[in-house]
Amino acid sequence: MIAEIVRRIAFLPVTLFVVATLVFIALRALPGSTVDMLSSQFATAGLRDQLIAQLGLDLPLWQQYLIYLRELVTFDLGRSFITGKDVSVMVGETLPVTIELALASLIVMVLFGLGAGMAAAARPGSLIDASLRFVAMTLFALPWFWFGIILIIVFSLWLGWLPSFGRLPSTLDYQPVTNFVLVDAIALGRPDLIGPWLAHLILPALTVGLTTSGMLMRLARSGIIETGRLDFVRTARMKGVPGGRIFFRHILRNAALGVLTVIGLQFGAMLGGSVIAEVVFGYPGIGRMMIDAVLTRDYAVAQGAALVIATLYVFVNLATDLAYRWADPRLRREPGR
Amino acid sequence: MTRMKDFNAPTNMSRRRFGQMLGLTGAIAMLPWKVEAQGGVQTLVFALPGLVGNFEPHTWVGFGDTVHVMDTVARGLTHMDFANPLPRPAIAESWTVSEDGTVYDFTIRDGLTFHDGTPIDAPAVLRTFQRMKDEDDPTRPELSFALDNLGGPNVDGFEAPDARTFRINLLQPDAAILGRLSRPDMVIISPTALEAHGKEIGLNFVSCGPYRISSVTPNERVVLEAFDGFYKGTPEIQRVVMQVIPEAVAQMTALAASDLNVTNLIPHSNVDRLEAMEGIRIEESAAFISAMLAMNCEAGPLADIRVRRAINLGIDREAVVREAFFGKAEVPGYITPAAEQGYAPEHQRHSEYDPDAARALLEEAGAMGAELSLISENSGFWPRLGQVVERSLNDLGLVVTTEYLDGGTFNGRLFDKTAHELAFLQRSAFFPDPDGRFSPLFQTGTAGADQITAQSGLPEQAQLDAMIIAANAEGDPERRTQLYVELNNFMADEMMPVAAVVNTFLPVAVTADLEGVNANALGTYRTFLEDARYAA
Amino acid sequence: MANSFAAPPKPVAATRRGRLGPADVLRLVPWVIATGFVLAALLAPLIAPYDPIENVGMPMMPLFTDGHVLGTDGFGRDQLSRLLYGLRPMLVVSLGSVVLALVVGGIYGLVSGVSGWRIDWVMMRAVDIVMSFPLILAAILVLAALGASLVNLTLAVAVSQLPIFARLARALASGEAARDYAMAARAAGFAPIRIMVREVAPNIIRPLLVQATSVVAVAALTAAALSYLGLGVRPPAPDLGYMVKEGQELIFIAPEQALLPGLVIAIFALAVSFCGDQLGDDRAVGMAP
Repeated sequence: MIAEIVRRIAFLPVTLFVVATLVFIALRALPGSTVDMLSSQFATAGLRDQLIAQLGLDLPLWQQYLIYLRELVTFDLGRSFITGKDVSVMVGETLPVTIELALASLIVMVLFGLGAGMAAAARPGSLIDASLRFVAMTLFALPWFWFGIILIIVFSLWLGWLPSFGRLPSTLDYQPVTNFVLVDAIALGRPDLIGPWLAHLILPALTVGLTTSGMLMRLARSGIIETGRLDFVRTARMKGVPGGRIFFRHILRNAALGVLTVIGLQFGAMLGGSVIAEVVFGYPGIGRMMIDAVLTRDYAVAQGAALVIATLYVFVNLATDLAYRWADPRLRREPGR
Repeated sequence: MTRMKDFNAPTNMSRRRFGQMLGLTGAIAMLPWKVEAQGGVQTLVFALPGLVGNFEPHTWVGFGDTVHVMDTVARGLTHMDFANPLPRPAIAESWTVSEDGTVYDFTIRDGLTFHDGTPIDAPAVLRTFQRMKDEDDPTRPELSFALDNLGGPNVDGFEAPDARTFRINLLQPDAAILGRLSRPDMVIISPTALEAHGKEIGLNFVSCGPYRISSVTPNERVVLEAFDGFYKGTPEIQRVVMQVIPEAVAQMTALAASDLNVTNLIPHSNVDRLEAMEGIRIEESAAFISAMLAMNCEAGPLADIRVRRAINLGIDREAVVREAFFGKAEVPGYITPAAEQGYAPEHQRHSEYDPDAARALLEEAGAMGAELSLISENSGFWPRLGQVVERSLNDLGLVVTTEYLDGGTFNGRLFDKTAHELAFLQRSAFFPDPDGRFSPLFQTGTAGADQITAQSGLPEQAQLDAMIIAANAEGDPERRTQLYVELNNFMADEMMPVAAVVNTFLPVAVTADLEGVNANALGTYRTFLEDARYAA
Repeated sequence: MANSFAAPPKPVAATRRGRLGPADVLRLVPWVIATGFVLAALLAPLIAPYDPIENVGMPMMPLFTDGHVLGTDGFGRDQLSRLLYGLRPMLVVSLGSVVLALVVGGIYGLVSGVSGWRIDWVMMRAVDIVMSFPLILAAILVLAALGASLVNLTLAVAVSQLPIFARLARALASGEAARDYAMAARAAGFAPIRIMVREVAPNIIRPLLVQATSVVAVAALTAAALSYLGLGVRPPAPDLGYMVKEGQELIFIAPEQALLPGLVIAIFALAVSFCGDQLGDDRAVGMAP
C-alpha cells in the first residue's frame, strides 16, 4: 500500500508535466494573444511590437516553453500579464474560496445522497423508495445554472432568507489573511464572520451539492440492497447478529466501495472549479479565474490554475483509492494492483 | 445633453400583470427598503463586475473594475463631470496655455494632502508624471501605457518650475489634453507611497480622491472611507463598499433587497421593470457609448465604397434599438454621439435606413448575394446586436454569417485585417472630448485605421489625417466643434469605413433615497460618488 | 430504521413478470417521453408553428397569446418553435458525443485491458492525466481553438466522457481476458487482436451500452452548460442552453423565457436517466437473461 502511494506521488510530476505542456500548447494555439487584449483599440503598430517584446512573446515558441518549464521547476508560476499580480498570489486568493465551496457542496452531497440512499434502500420498492429515487433523479437531471437561478429567486427574492451573491455581506469589513474565512475568523478572533459566511455559502453549496447527490443516492441505494443479499450478510442474519450491527459493520462498509468512488470523483470535479455555480452566485473561485484567464489570453494564470487543479485532483484521487482500500480489506491484501 | 425617449413596448402592461400573477411584484414590494446603516455609519454599496485588486493606474487598459475604484479613490489635475465638455479644476486649481498651445502651466491647489498625509505640491505631481515618461524609473511598471494615453510622443516633457507650478510641454498643440488629464490613469500618486512600494504601488495604492481605501478583498470587495482632506470637502456618505456582483439576476435581487445602492450593470431589458418598482430609481444618462460596424476596406466586396454605403443604408437601426436594447438606446448620427461636441443634427442622414437604395447600390456594385463574415464578441449586448444586424443585412440580399467569439479570439482577429471582413467596435467616452473618437482610432498608424478598417490605404486617408490633426490643434471651442462636425461628414461621405449602429449608455439604477449620483458619468463607466447623499 | 435492513428483501420484479401492472406502465413513461423528444426534434419542421429564427410577432409577447402559445422572445421570435428546434442540437450533441466516447473510449479500454500490464499501466495513467485535466478548461480550449459549432461542441462533450468508457471497458476487458475461454483462445495460439475482437469485445458491449444510456443525461447537461456559457450553437439558431442564458436577464419580466428551456432540458435528462436506470437495474437485479 505504501509502495502504491509512493508510485502515485512519483507519477505526479509526469502528470503535471503533461498537463502543463498541453495547456501551454493549447493556449498558444488559440487565436489572439495577450497583446490584443492589452493594447485595446488604441495601440499603434510600434507600441504593439514593444509590448510583444516586453512580454517575451517575440521569442520562438520552443524557447518560451523552455523558459516556462524552467520557472515551473523552481515553483514559479509567473506573473499575470493582465492583472500585474503574481499567479501564486492570485491562486492563493481564489483557491481557498473554491475549496470552501467544494467542501460545503461535498457535505450537502454526502448528507443528502447517503441519507436518501439509505432511506430508500430500507424498503426497496416502497413508496418512500420510489419518491426518493424520483427526487434524486430529478436533482441529478437539473441543469446547474438553471437550478441556481431558481434557488436565488425562491430563497433570496421571494423569501428573502438568504443572500444571493458573494461570500460575505458588504456591511462587514474583512481583510483576508489565509482567505479561508473560517480559519481567519478563528485566527483573527472574528466570530462575527462565521454566520454571514455560512449564509452566503448555502445557496451555491445546495446548487452543486444537490445536483450531484443524485448519482450518489443511486449508488448508495443499489450498493446497500445488493450487499444485503450477499451470502455473508444472510449468514450473519441467520446467526442472529443484530440488524443495526449488520448494517453498519457489513452492509455499509461493503456498499462504501462504489460510494467512495463517486464521492472522490465528484469532489475532484468540484475542486476543478464549479465554474457555473461561481458565475451564477458571483463566487470568486479558481474556476472562474481560470476561464477568464483563457478568455483574456492571460497565459500564466490559466496555466497556473490548471496545474493547481490537476495537482489537487491527483491527491483527491489518491485519497479516494486509499479510502477504498481501507473499506475493502480484500484489496488491501492483494499485492500491488 | 440628450434625453432618452421613452420607448414603451406595447406589451408592457400585460407583462407586468403576468409578473403579479406569479407573485413576483408582490414579493418584491414587501421587502424592506431601508438604508444599510452599520453603527450609524451611512454606507453606499456599489456593484463591480470584477475586482483584480491591483490599482496600478499606469498599466490600466480600460474598463474592468479599476476605473470604478480609481475614480473614487484618486484624482488628477483636472476633472470632467460629464454635464458639459469643459474640464474643471481638480488638484490643479487653474492653468494657463502658451500662445502656440504647446506649454501648459498648472497651479496646484494649496494645502492639500494625499491620503497618507504627504503634501500635494508640484514636485509630487511631477513624480507621478515622470514615472510615465522615464523608462528607467525604478518604480515604473512593465507595460506602462499611461504616456500613450496622454499623447505619446507628442509629450515633450514635464517640469516643476516652482513648488506650486507643474508644467507640461507638448510638441504639437493638443486641445484635448485637459480632458486627457481627467482620465483614470492620470491620477496623482503619493510620492511617499511610491517610494515605499515601488512597482507594487497598485497593491498599496495611495492617492488623493474623495475616498481612501480601507480594505481590499480581491475578487470580492473593496471598502472605502470618506477622506476629510478631499479638495471639494469630505463626502457626506462615510463608507462606500464596492462589491463584486457579476450576474444580472444577482444584481437585481440585491437592488430589490437594498443590499445594493448604485449599479450601472443592469441589462437594458430591465430598465422599465426596475423603474416600476417602489424604492428604485433609474437615473437618466446621456448616450456616450457607441457601437459601430467596422468594414474592412481591403476585404473583397467591401473594397467598393458602394457596398460599404449599401451596408450603412441597410442597417435597421430602429430594430436595433427596439430588439437589442429594449428601447434604451438611440439611433446615432455618425461617429460623434449627440451628447458630445462635434455632433450636428445633419449627421442623422449618415444613419438613415433605406433598404431600397441599399439594394440598388448592391446591384450597381455587382455585390448582390455576396458572402460576408461579421465578427462579434459573445458577451454583453453584442450577441443581440449581432442577430439584428445580421438579419438586416441578409434582408438586403447579402449573405452575412456572424461569428460570436470570446474576447481573445475576437481581438486577435479584429487587429488583423486579413482575419475579418465586418466587425463590431465599441467606443465610450472616458472624457467627453470629440478627439477621443478620431485620433486613437481613425488616424494612420493606429490599429484602427491600419487593421480594423484598413482605411489607411484609401486615397482620402491623407486628407482625413490632416483634418484630425487640425481639429485637435484648434484652441477655439466653437471653431473646434465645427471642425469635428465637418470631420464626421467627410468620413461618412467620402470614405465610409465604419457604419454607426447605435448609441447607448449603461443604465444606472439607484435606491430611491439616494441623490447626487453622477449618472452621465456612470452611464459611460466613470464613477464619481463624492456628491452622493441620502435624502433626509 | 436500521433494523429494517435485516428483513429479507422482497423480490421486487420477479412476481410481476408476465402481467402488465401499473408499475410497468410507470416504467414505460420515461421511454415514451424520451421517444417523444426525439420525435418532436425530428418532426420540428412539420409541427413547429413558425420559423424559429424569423421575427414573426411583436417582441416579448406573453404566454398564451393568440398564435404564440408560449409567447415571443425579445426579438419577436416564436418561443414554441424555438423550443422545438432547440431540441435538435441537444439531441445531436448528447447522443453524438456519447456514441463517439463509447466507440473511442471502448476500443481504448479494450486494448488496454487485454494488453500486458506495462502497456495497460501506461494507458491507464494517460486516462488519469486526462481526468486530472479540468473538464471545463478542456472544453473551452477545444471550442475556442476550433470555433463554437455543433460538431465542435459534440467533440468537447465527448472528450469529457471518454475516461468513463475507457476505464469501464478496461475493467471489463481485463476481467474477461482472464476468464477461461479467452485463456483457451490464447493457448490455442490465436492472435491477440482476434481474441480481442472475437472473444472479449462481444462480452463487454452490453455493459458499455448500459453505461452509455446512463451518461446521455450527463452529456445533455454538459452540452447545455457549455451553450449557456456561449460556446454552443451560433445564434440565432435556437439552442436550449443559450435560451436560458438569453432569458435569464428577463427573469423578472418574463420568467418563462428562462424557465421553459431549462425545464425542457431537465425533463429530457430526467427521462433518459430513468431509462438508463432501468437498464442498469435489470443488470443489477439479474432480471434480464
